[in-house]
Amino acid sequence: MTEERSRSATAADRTRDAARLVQWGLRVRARPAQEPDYRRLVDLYHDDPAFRAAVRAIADGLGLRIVDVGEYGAILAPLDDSVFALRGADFRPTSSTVEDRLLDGVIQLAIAATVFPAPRDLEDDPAIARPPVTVSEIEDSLRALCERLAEDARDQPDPVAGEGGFEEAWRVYHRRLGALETKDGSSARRSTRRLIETNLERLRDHGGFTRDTRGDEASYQPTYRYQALVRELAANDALRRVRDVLAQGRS
Amino acid sequence: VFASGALEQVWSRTLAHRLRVLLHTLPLSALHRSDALRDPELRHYDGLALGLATMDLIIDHMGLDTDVDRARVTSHLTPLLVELDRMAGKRPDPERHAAMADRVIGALRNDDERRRPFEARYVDIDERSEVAGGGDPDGSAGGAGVLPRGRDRGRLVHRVREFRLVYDQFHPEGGTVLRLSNEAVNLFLGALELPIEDAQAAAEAIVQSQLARGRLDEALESAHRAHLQSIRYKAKLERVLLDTRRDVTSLDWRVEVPRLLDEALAHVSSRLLVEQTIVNTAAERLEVLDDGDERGAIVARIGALARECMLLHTQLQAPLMRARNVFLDEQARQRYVAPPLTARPELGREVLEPVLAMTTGDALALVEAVQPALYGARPPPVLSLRMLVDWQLRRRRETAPSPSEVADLDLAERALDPTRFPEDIRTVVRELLAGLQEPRTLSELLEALRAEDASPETIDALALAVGEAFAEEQLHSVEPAGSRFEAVGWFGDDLVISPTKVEA
Repeated sequence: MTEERSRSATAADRTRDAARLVQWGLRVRARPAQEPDYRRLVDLYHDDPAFRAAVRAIADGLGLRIVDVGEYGAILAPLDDSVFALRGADFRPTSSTVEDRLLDGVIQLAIAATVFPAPRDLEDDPAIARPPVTVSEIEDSLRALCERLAEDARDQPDPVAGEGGFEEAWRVYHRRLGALETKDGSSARRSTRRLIETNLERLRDHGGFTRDTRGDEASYQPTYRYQALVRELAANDALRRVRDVLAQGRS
Repeated sequence: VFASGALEQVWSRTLAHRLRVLLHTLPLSALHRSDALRDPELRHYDGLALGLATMDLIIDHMGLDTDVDRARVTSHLTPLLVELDRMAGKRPDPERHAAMADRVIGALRNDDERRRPFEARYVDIDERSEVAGGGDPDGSAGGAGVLPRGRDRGRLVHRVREFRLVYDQFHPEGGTVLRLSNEAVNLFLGALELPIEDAQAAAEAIVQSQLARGRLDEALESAHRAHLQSIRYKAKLERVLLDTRRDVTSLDWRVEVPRLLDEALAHVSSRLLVEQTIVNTAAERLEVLDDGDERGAIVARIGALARECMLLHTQLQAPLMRARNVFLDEQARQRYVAPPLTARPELGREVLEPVLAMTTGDALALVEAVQPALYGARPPPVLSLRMLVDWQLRRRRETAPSPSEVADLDLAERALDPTRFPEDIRTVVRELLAGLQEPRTLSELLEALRAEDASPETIDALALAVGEAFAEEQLHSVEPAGSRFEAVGWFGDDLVISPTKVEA
């Protein structure tokens, strides 16, 4: 009887520890190197298969996917429809126009593509930091891409008026100015440069980038967390979704 | 047409192997050549000397707690930069020094190619009979064959060698630090063709022989090298163990890893024996030396280094014993996980471009579905009614009366308005802040200005400039020092001003 009770106590301890590792993973700025409890749980995750199974089960039940557990911490990504997923609309609770949300999403893809321009960059040693990116770099590559698509579409008929949702996405970006001069000299809130900055800052808030303000223009250094999320999940996820849409012949 | 075998008499795999080693020096020679091509104000610096000093600094900190970042490289190089300035008759300038340090790090890290590995082409004899081209037999990436298919044994192929010298590695506590690749370490230690284990055995054999022959200075130098090799070896094994945990498919687990682990255990055991011998020999030599013999200190240092090597190797034994289990365990687990997609997308062409070409409806649905993966998981905020009530019912915080006398000042007078301070005062303040080599507190700076008999306006301008920098965090990193100060008519929370703003 006593033995059974102590066994269930051990199982409860393990579950609690496993859930705590998941909680550490949700604190994106916590580091195992600085938190003895976090480090102990990461080591336990590697050394004890039963504990690992418990962590996976809890993460799965919460709608989380474990992307990486190691010296840089536990990196978790939300499964589809998870309560832990951040959606575009979450950032613009008041003024969520479809156009702004589309631009946010396109910019997020452009940031990832600027950090990892070539397939081989996604295969490099995960512990090596990719070079930092700037707002200008992302704006320039998106502009160039839109210019090219505009060039290709020059002989096509213009989109039918009033059929929102059926014009191509590049037209929305192309239309929006890179920088709008305002009376007080600040770049306007809705210019694409400003949107890119806002998106980088949001990723920074979520532990995806750090900012370095040396030099003429602030540069954004991707973190291990961001690189792991893109490499292990987002890159191939995005590719799969693009192929699905193209296969259905919708766009 | 030459007789068969004529080519082999001129060019062999051994020569190609040596050539491959030489390729690792190409980035350094480019750094040397770039001296003449830099901006005029940086041309008098010796890029190669600065590059080697940078590698020396990084290697010196390998395995230690203090890691090397850009700021540390700059401060390490400063004496050399100052001396190079003096030789060229220029005034030392911290900004120029930082710019040059950036160039040197950038050249070693291949910043021009987005920090990818350096690539160098070389010719090799193709010894395979059936397949032409293909991968490099030593397992390194690349190997772009230029031969037609067929039986081409003994013909030349071009191969591409990929290697890094310096790279930014994520630090477990945040931020990035500079690291040297194995190629760079070998280049630096002059152990060009040796795998790590052999380089270490060689270094220790040299220590033992030099120590036995009484060539103490050289023995100490060799002991330093052997110690570095031990650190490097430890790092290599830890890397393998970490990779095992991350993804067994990244390693050759059937042959390579078990072999590596067995060899490592054998290597560690034999190292421990040799190091014990060195420790013993050092102790014997110490006994025969007279008291006060200055060589005693050197022998003691050699003994201490050998003991540190022993410690490193002892620390490796336990994880090595466990590694096989980790490995088998991970292998069993990962076998059931779907194999990772081998084809990595070219995000710009295969994802971004098709998305831009989609209709806005399709594109919006797609980007919104992908975004959660880019942000990672975040807990949804949940309102705690109790915490809200507690917060609302909290007593109003009374501000304690200030122990210092506060004068009501005209706001127009106390702002860093260009019309208030003449250009010369603003220049003094700007140069003072730009010339900071290390973090200083605001009170120190104010006192320093007063000690120099600076005018009250200059002192005000400095205090206001630092206050503005604190608000904007632009050029300098300004953090609260956690203490209060009162100096030269100013008082309040003291601030620490650091030369440049770098985020952890």
